[in-house]
Amino acid sequence: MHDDDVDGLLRKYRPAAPSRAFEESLLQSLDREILGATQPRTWPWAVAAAALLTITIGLHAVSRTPPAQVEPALDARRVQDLADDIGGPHARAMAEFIVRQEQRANAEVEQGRAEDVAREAVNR
Amino acid sequence: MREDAAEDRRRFLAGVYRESGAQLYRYALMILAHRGDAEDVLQQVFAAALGKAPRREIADPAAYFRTAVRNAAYSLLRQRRTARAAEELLLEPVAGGCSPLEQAALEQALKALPPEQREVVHLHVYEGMTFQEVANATGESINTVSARYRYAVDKMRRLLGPTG
Repeated sequence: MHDDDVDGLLRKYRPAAPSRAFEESLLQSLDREILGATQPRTWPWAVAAAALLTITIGLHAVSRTPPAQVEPALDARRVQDLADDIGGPHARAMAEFIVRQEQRANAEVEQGRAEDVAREAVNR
Repeated sequence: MREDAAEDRRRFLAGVYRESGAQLYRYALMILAHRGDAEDVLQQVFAAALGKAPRREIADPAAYFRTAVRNAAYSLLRQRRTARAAEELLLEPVAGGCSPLEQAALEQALKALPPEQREVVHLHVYEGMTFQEVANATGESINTVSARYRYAVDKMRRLLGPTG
């Protein structure tokens, strides 16, 4: 084989063309990149605004929530007496429930009285 | 305004691809001898051009993109250090009288060449450049280019001897 034969053999072929799938993918990626570059970047502002709004509402809600009421300890003697009166397997739980409700009702009455006294004092 | 510029760039690059994308791919393929690598290089070159290719700054798009593909291809080869084995076909027949056996032998001979020699073969034979034009395109001296071609043909002749 001579040099001209090699040259002739080479010219019977040519390097393979790119696949159709690759060409489409490349042109689509150009579109995507351009689209990304031209889209006004509103999303960071939207995210920032949403975050600010969430924080504001959260702080507002926290500031308006009254401090957690500290539940006074149940009157153990009263619970025991009631449980003895009720009897049965759930007597203790029922007695605790009743005593808790009683104590809450009494606390509300006491608070109402204190407010009345304070109001009268102001009126005088 | 910004959208206009971006759309202008997209049209420009899509036009470049339509006009010379296949030629650029073939160039990368002959340097790299690997289709996946050639695709990576083209993708990389066009993605980079998106970011920095105002149309008016590229006086000769064909030369600009050929150089960009060349740089990216050799950069990839330097990163890889070792050639990737590829069983895929590098060539396609363009004339009658081709045979799978002949094509396989020619492909093996081409793959056995160093990338620089394959590049010169490609530019001279498939892009029809003179050695001087190849020298201009690659930044090598004409003596280097013609020597690479001679070495390439010698080696291919030896490798193809039994089947040629």
